[in-house]
Amino acid sequence: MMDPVLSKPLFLNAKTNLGSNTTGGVNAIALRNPMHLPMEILAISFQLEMPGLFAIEENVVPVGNILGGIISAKMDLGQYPLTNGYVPVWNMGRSIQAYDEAPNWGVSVTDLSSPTGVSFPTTQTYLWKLARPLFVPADSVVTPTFQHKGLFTDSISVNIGYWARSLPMGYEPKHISLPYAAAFQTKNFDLTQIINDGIPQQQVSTETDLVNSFDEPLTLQRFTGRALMYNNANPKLSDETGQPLSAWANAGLSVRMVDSHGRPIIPQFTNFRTAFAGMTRSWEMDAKQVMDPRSYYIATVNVDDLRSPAVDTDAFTLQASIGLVGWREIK
Amino acid sequence: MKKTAPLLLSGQVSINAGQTVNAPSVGLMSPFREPIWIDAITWTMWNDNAAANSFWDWGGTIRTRLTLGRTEITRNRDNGFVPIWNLSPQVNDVTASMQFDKDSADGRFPSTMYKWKLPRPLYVPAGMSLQSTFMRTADGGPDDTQVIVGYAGRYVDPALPTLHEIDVPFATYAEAAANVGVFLSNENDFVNPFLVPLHTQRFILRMQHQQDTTTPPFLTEAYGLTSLPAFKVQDTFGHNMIRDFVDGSARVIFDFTRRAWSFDNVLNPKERYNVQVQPYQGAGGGSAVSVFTDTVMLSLIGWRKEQF
Repeated sequence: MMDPVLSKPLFLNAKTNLGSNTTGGVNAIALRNPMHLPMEILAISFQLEMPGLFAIEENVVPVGNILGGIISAKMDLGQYPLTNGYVPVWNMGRSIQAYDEAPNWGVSVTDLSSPTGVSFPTTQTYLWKLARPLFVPADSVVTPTFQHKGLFTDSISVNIGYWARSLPMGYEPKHISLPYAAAFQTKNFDLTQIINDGIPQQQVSTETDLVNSFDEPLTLQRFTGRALMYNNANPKLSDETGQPLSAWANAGLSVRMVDSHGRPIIPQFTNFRTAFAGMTRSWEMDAKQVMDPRSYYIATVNVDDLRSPAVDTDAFTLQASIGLVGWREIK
Repeated sequence: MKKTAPLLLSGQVSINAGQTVNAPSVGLMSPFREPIWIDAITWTMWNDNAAANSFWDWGGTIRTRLTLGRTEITRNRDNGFVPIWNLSPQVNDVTASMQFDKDSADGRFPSTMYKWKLPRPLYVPAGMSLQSTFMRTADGGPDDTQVIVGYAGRYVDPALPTLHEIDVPFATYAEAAANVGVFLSNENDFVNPFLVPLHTQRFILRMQHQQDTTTPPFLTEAYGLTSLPAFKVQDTFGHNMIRDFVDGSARVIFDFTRRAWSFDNVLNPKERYNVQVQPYQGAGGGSAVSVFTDTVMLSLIGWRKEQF
C-alpha cells in the first residue's frame, strides 16, 4: 500500500479557444506533472463557455446553448487511445447536477433595440470520474484534442482539468487500468419533417462506433444517452435538459441494442430516458458488465412524432448520442 | 463471479385515475429464458393530455407492486402498492427528475423519472419475470398517463449453478395526512413480516402537496414547505431512535437533498419500527389549511434472503 504522505493531490488544467468547425489542442505542458513524477488521474473535467450577446424576448424564456454535444474530445496517453476518436464531452460522465447543464435563462427587458442589451455567457461543466485511477508515467501527458462541430458560428472556449495525485519517483504499478470512451452520434433528424410526414426515422450505428477494438475485455462503467436539440430559426438556442424541447428525448426518442454476437442488450425499442436514466443521463454498470474483446454493439435509434414540440412553425433538429465508457487492464 | 453482458428490459402501460394495471410481462422477461440479474429499476411517467397551468409529479400518485413469483418485493397494508417516488432517494435536483413537457410557459404536465438501485442485485430464475403492477390513486387528473418501467441488469454467467438462496429487495410503506391528527404506525407497518432477518437500508420521506382549488388539482412534492411535520421513532423494544418531536425536524432527519435517512440495521423476524408523526398547521408557510391537502409518505427499504 502506497505511503499516503508521498501521494500529493494535484490539479492540472489547460485551456483553448475553438473556432466554429475547427479542431485544436491545448498546451500539453500544462497537463504534465510539473514535479516530473508519475501521477494518477482520478477525474477529468471539461468546462465549456460561449460568450456573447443574446437577443431575448420579453418575459423569461430560455436562451443560450447546451455545449456538451457541440464539443468532442479525443484523448491519448502516448500510443494508447483513451477514446474511440472524437467523443462528445457530455457522453463520458454521468450528469451530477443536470439543472446546471441547462442554458442560462434570460431576463426580462422591454426594449430589444437597446444597444446595451443583456450579455451573459453560456457555461457548462461536465465531469468524468474515472472508474479506476489512470497511471501516467513521469513526463508523460494525457493529450486531448478538441473538435468544434460547427453547429454554431460562435467560438467556444474549452478548459480541461485533471484531478490527480502525484506518486513517488520510480513507482510502477503491476498493471494499468486504461479508461476508454466511445460514442455513436446520429445524424441530425429534422423533427418538423417527421411531424409533417408522420413517419418515424431511424439510424443504426456501425461496427466502428460502439466498439471494443482491443484484445482485452472492456469492463463497462456506464452507457450514456444524450439528445441535442436546436432551433434552426435561432441557431443560438439549443437544449437538452428540462426545457420545452426536451419532451422529444422523453418520449419521441427510443433505442434498441444488440451486441456483435446478436445477443440483445436492449431487446425492444425503449424510451431514451428509460434506457439512460433521465436523472443522470446514464445506465450505470457498477463494473459488473463486460464487453468482449474485438466486439461491438449495434444501436438503433428511432425518432417518432409522439410528442410535438412547442412551436410547430419553427424547424427543429435533434441529434442523439450514445456513449460507452469503461476501462481495460494492461500489464 | 464472471462479468457478463448488460441487459435492459422494459414495458409500458397506460393508466387512468383509480385504475390498476399490470405491466406486460413479455418485454420484461429475459430473452432465451435465461436467468438474469436486475441491478436497478427505472420508471418514466408522463401525460400528453395537458391542461394549462397544471403541475404534476406522478411519483406520488402512481404506485407499484413488485413480485417475483410468490415472493413479494413490496408489501404493506395497501395490497403491496408503494408510491414510485418512495422507492429511491432523490437523485440530482428536482428539475432534473422532471422534464417539462411541451411549452413550459403553458405549465404543461411534466415527465417524471425515478430510479431504484436495488440494495442487492435481484436474481431472476430462468422462465420467470419480475412482475410490475401499477395502481393510480383517484387523483382527479387526466386519463392515459404513460408509465414505462425498465429493468437494468445483466445476463447471468452460464457457469453459475442455479441459485437456491437469493437476496430479495424489500419495500414497505405507510402514509398519513400531514396537517390533520397524529399518525401512529401499527404492527403491520414498518415490520419484518418474514421468518428471516431483514436488513433495513433507509427510510424515505416524501410529502405530496395537493392544491384543490384548481381543476384538475395541482399535485406535486412539497419539498419546499416552510412547515413540516415532526417525527418520533422507536424500535420494537421501545428504544428511542428519534426521541423528541422537534418542529421542522423532517428536513434534518431525512436528508432533504435525497429525501432519505440511510442507516444499516437488521430487524429480526417480526420486529418493527414504531413511527409517530406530529402534524403541522397549514402548508406553504401558513396558508389556509383548507386549500391544501398534504400527505406524509414514509417508506422503509431493505433486503432479506429467501430460499428459492
